Amino acid sequence: MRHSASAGRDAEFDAYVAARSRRLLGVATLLVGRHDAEDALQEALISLYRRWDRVVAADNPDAYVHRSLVNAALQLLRRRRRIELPAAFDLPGHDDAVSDRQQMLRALASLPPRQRAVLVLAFYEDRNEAEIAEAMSCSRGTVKSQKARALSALRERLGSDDDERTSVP
Amino acid sequence: MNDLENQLHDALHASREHTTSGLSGPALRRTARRRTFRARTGGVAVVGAAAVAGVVVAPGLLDTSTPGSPGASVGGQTSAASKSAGADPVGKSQPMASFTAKATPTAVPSSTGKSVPVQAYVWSPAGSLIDDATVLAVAPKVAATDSDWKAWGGQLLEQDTVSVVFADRAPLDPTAQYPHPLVIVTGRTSADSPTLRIAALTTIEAGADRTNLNLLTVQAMTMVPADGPQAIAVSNGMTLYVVAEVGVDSATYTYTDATGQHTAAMKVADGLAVATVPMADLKASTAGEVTGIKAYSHGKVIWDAAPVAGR
Repeated sequence: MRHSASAGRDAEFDAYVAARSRRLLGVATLLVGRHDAEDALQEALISLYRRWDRVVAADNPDAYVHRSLVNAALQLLRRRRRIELPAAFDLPGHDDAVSDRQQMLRALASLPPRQRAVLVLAFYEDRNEAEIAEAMSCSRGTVKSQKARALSALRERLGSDDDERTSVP
Repeated sequence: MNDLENQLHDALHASREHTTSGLSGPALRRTARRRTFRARTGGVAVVGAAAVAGVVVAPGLLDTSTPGSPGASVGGQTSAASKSAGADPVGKSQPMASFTAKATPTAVPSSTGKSVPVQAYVWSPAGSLIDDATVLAVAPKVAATDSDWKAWGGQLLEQDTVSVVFADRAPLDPTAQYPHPLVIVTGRTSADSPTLRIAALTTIEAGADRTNLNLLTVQAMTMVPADGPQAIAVSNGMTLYVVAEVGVDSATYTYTDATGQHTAAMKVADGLAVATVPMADLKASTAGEVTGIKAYSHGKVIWDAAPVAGR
């Protein structure tokens, strides 16, 4: 019986990873950069696996992984002053829309990690303020203020320097 | 949402397309269990009485399997070099391992409770199955006798010339529950042939038992410079992969479709680069095809050509 329960648990975990890991890898890339994205996500998912029963009981595996990735980003950015986006993001654009997107992603990469995390969770993962607050272990008010500051900084960077790359203030 | 938020939303959602693949649940579970096991043992495995003679220990390879099976080895006698565990072309943190194993004196408690000095050899072989007895026995024989491969038009290798240079399990079929074994061998069609060949073996026709190492068959083969990187890139129609004796740090593939030429990153894990063939894009265009793969290891290009067609 125990073996059966374990197999079911593993199957659930595998299904979750199969369904979500590609998108979560995108989140990780935007938060910690391409060099560390897989490592950060792997650590988050391994940690998730060890707590799977508890996390699933709370019905929030995504929030758990988001929190792990945000923490990884914060730790990483204490040691490193810049992140690198995937090479594919740097491909020359075929039109203005592509170029604008690349510029936007570079500006996003230049934001402080908490501000970047708020924007990634809000606009990439389409999470509401309550969910972002849970993932970032902070209040909804903090999420609102971080989001406002991040958008303001983004607007400023996009307006002031078209060639800005990924330097972190 | 205002304009800026709309632009940000648009840019982030478009960026999702650049994430070509995710991670493997079974691989993550294995890593979690391996770490748990390593924590319990302190990262040191003892091979019974052999520990006294200073044999084995590969902390990075410890698994729940028994010594002599995948994850344990003696010395460093295979032809395998190191492999990188990271996807980092600039060499983030993975040093290139040497054939000369570093001896790290350590001690482990014996069954009598006394400490027994052993030599801990820390090294990284090319794949977790590189020392698997079944792989080492089956792969050279298959490369020399695979009648299906020969019927498909492929060449066979002289068994005595065959070396296993990489062996692991890999997610070659995105629909499969478990990763397939993937074994790379080099060899020659005859003992005096000047041309070195490299072949990829996996369990392509093994039906439900795709994890069975006894069911390896040749999937693809090509020539390789004897003094160059021993690498092969394969497309089996569903999956692209690049594998090399020295491990793959990063790789991209290029394909053309109705909208032009595109380049996308391949997922790299455990020294192996894998990507799913962009089937929908290719089918939508009469000119749709994967035109090239470029792979790096330790800062050097190890493959820059179209993938070899695998059966």
